[in-house]
Amino acid sequence: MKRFFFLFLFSCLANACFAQIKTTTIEKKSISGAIEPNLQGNRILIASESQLSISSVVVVKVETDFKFRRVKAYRDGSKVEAEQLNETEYLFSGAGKYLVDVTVFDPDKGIDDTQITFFIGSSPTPPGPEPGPQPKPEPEPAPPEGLFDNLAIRVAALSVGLTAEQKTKWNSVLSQTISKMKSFEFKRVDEARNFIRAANLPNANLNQMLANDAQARMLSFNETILWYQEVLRGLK
Amino acid sequence: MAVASDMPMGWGLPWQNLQDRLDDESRARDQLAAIAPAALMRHKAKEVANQELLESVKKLMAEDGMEGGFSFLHLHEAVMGSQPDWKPQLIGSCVASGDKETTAARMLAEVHLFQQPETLPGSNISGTNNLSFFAPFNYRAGRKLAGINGNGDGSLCMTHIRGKMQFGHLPCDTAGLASDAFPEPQNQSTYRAWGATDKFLNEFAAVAGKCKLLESEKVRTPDEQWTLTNEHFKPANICSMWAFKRGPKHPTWKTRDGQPVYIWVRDSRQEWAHNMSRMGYVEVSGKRYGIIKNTCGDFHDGRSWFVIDQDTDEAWLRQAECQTVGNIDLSDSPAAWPS
Repeated sequence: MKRFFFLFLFSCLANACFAQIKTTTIEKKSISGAIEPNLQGNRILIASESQLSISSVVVVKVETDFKFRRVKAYRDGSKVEAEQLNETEYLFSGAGKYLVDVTVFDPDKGIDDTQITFFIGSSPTPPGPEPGPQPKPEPEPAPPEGLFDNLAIRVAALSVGLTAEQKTKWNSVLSQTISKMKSFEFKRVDEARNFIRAANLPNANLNQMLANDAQARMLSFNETILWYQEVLRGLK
Repeated sequence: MAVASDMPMGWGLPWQNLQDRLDDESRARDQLAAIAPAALMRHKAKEVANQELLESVKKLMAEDGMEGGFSFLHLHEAVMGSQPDWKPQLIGSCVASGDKETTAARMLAEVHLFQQPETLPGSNISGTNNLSFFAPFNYRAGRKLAGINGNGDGSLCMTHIRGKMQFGHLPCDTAGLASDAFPEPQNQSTYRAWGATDKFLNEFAAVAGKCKLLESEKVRTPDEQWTLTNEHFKPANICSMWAFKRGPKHPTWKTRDGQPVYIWVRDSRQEWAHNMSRMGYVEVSGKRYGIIKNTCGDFHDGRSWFVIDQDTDEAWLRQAECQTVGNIDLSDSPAAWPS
């Protein structure tokens, strides 16, 4: 099935124009599921068997006179690949909190960098019967439920075999870790990780799932606290 | 009783006058601007993501009579449990010793105020698990770029900044790094050996090159410093010939221990060829004051820091080399779970 984007411009947030990088974040709508789309004036004709869905997307435009550029993106702390639409524009789709790092480099001018954050609202929704050309802007999107790709649910599923005593140990270690991070007794994530390692928590499958999940994410200090809280929530 | 003037100073070389030193600084900046102009420009301010921590800092500042502005001394206290108490400099390494403090302050802002997904080099102010990078590495990098070799002391503010951009920073827990103390040796010969030649710089260049300073901006006025401190959270290094002495007592300002705060002024009878650390710009009774930290020791009313008013600062900045410590490319935050 062909994927087709029809882009309604809802709002344009001019983010920044500093030094050598200008970034512009544009919220748009994407319609996918259109078969044989054909633009006729201001109408799009599509095959009758098309099953449309509309989702929010964001286009990030990066303008610079530096020779090289690098765009790194993270959604809810996990690295994601941006879809490059053309030389200057990158498309982001899928609900979540995004952090986009743009670094530019030029042998003659040096380096520059900037960072952009934005939300994309939750899951795709089916379109109304006749989507008008000027639909009302969506309300501010809420952060997606099930943080870190439903981490708590995955933890709950893998922790069913834990005995009451084992579960108490998990709860205690995680609660202590969170408390020590919040009080800055731990100032670095690796101190928290070493504390957990030293506790030698049982359940190889659960440990492996958490190790794999953590490995795939780039979390700040406070996001790590939130991640541990989700693990704790799953255990409960 | 020892005073700050008895400490070895280290801005520039002993036979240089003020203008010679400022000219060297200016030349070093122009050279850097020619190859990496973006490194010296003002970048977009990063947002504070941890408002709770910022509130804690403000609360601690209020206990010390500071009604507004921002103090890196109190950020340090909020995260580390006490205000910075690094060991005083022992040789004329003030450019490196003071920069070690501004760099540590900036890293705390990046990791804990901005919540960048990065990690601090360490958690303590002594030993190898150190919040600060190993200062002698940067001391040599700056001296190399200034063309200063051998066992005599001294460096330049601007080449020091460029050295941090070009050679990076060395974590104190680097394998093979030997010293009697961290982040600065307490053995003077050891410190001077680091500054004398490229031997250690070359030996540890690969490790240090992973954490480079990305930006620094010249500070020209107190208003600029206010903005850079309170909106960009950038401390600054200031090299000058100015000496300071205690001035008038502030009519109402007292710190939490009940001690009055004196406003320090220029002591024109003396000269300190010295780098100090600009660790905050605060407001008290509607007036702004700069917080200046001195690596010489607790020579300022029993503290290692003192305050100056804006008029003094305005005049000082005109005869000084002052550069911010901006964004540092720290190591990425590690995975949260052991594998």
